[in-house]
Amino acid sequence: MNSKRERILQRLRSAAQPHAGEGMPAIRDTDLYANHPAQEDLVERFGAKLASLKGEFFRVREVRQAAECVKELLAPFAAASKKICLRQPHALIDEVIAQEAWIREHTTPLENELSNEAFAQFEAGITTADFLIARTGSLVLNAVTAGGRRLSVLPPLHIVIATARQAVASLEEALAQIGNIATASYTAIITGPSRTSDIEKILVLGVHGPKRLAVIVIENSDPNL
Amino acid sequence: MTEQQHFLQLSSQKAADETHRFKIAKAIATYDAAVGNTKKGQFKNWEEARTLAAQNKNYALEHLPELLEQFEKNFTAAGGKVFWAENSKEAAEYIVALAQRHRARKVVKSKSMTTEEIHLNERLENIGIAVWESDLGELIVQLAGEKPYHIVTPAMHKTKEEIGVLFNEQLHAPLTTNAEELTMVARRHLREAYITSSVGITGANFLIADAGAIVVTENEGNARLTMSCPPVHVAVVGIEKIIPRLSDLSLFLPLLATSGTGQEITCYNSIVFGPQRNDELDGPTEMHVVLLDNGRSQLYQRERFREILRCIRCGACLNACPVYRTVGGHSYRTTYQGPIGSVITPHYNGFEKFQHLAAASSLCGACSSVCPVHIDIHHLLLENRALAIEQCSPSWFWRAAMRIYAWMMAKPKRLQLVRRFARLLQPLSPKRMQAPRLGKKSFREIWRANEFKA
Repeated sequence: MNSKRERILQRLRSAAQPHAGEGMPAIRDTDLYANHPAQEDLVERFGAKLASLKGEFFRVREVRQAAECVKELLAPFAAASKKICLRQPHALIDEVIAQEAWIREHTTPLENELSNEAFAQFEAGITTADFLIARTGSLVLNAVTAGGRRLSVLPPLHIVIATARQAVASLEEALAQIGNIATASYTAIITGPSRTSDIEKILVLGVHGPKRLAVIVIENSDPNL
Repeated sequence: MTEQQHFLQLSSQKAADETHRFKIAKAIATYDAAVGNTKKGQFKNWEEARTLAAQNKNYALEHLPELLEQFEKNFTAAGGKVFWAENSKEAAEYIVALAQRHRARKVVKSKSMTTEEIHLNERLENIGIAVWESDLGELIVQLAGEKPYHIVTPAMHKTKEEIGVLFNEQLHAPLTTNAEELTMVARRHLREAYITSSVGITGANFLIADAGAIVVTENEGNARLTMSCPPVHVAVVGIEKIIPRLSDLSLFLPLLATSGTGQEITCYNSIVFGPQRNDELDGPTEMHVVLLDNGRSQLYQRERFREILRCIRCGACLNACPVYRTVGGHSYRTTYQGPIGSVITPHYNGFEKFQHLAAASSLCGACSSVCPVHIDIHHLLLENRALAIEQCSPSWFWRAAMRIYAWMMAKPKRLQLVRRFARLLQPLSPKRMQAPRLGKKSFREIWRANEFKA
């Protein structure tokens, strides 16, 4: 096996270098992209972009209102006292859940390893995110901070509870942070609900991933959460 | 039949098929409109962006061996396994053995051209392992018993009516022509595959050297599920997919999405650093990356062709190519179709078989003008023509024809003489390549007769 590796590398090393010395160019989002978001309207830009990609965007002042949003989103799925939603155990989410007994009854925290079969029974998943990217309307989340890999992709409805402090202007800023905190095995950059145009270029949402993506951004949250 | 004969036969059939032409024209018109808007709306200057991308990829290629080793070191440190495969056989055998070790009866795949390149599905199916293609377009061509028509949109050539019949026959779904309903049939059909497969197989759009990660770009979520649910994940990646830094994605993700589908960024971009860690609730416990050479290092050694390894497989050159649009993706009978395929296929699969593809081009340069990493594709096709002459001794007929041509073009008098004959012989030219009729008199004759005096 090692000899294959060596043979491949040897062929590459022995080749002449036609471009030698050009150096690696710096890549700056502010130089590349039109309409770089201003610091004061990051959340607004994020929300507008997400909505244009058919994501659902809620901007609320307090956790209390966030809880109302969650209840409204989950209500159509509710069957008598059945758990319909998995939620990531996380201080901010717990705080929102604590506002509303109804949500507590219908959701269950994802604490242990759960089989794929059991996982597939749930209608919705609630996670946090690490960053909201204003320019592209993207969320960044990882397998440690968002309850693993499946919670944000397997259930048909993905609800994200985030804070205004998590908004950044560009992909460049988010990537710099991922580089610094790469402590998870998996990071996803999510831009709108699952989509396809494979059939005659007709846009259809929810092909394999979530059909709906709802992002709730809380303005005044406890900075410790 | 030789590959060349196949190509000529299939392409003349497709070129005359008006339904096919209509379908492809419609799909590409939608694509063109989206790409045009996104280039203008998203980028300050598209030309500068693609120049920057080309420079970045040149740097990556210049440092290819070091960057691959850096990727390997970082990825291995995170618990991943790297397998270097010199050819498609080694790559496929590694994955087959892996699937057998895990007693897999079923594997789920997300769209990957490298797995097409190594004919992985056939090899797995030969030993009784079911392969579930999960990308909607890939599922459609798999059920139809076909190969992908296009490297980005595999089922571009199928109408919703055709897909409705296919799903009705193969998946016993109610007959419908509604794209949304058809998509939901695929969703329900594939849920089981994610949940019960022992191995998930993907490709990757990028290898990140400094982070030791792979990046998978998609819209549907099938790749995310393939990398999240099964206990084993294996990614098959060409060695040229490397970029130096994680931060380079802030250019490459929007660039690839813009050229691939006209989106600003695709719906899902997954950066995978390795298998599940101790503090994580799920994810594969084993992750393998197969680094595929399969002719790439030989291409790397040919200085003039090195730049083709900048390719990020966006498919823009296929959509822009008048030949691809006319003859369609299946006429090529290659894994990679269109201009990019015509450049690389003879290098990977032999000039003897595929040198004719160098001529499957009008040399108009549309491919080069849309390439997001500035590859001079149409000039590389010319280089392939030259190599074809060097590598495959041309037939006596070709050599004689070239001699006559060289003699004819050397003196104006000779050319005039030949033109007389050409006028007489024109009615004999084959119907499908009828050129405009030659005039009664040549320009030179009219000039001489002073007929220009107006």
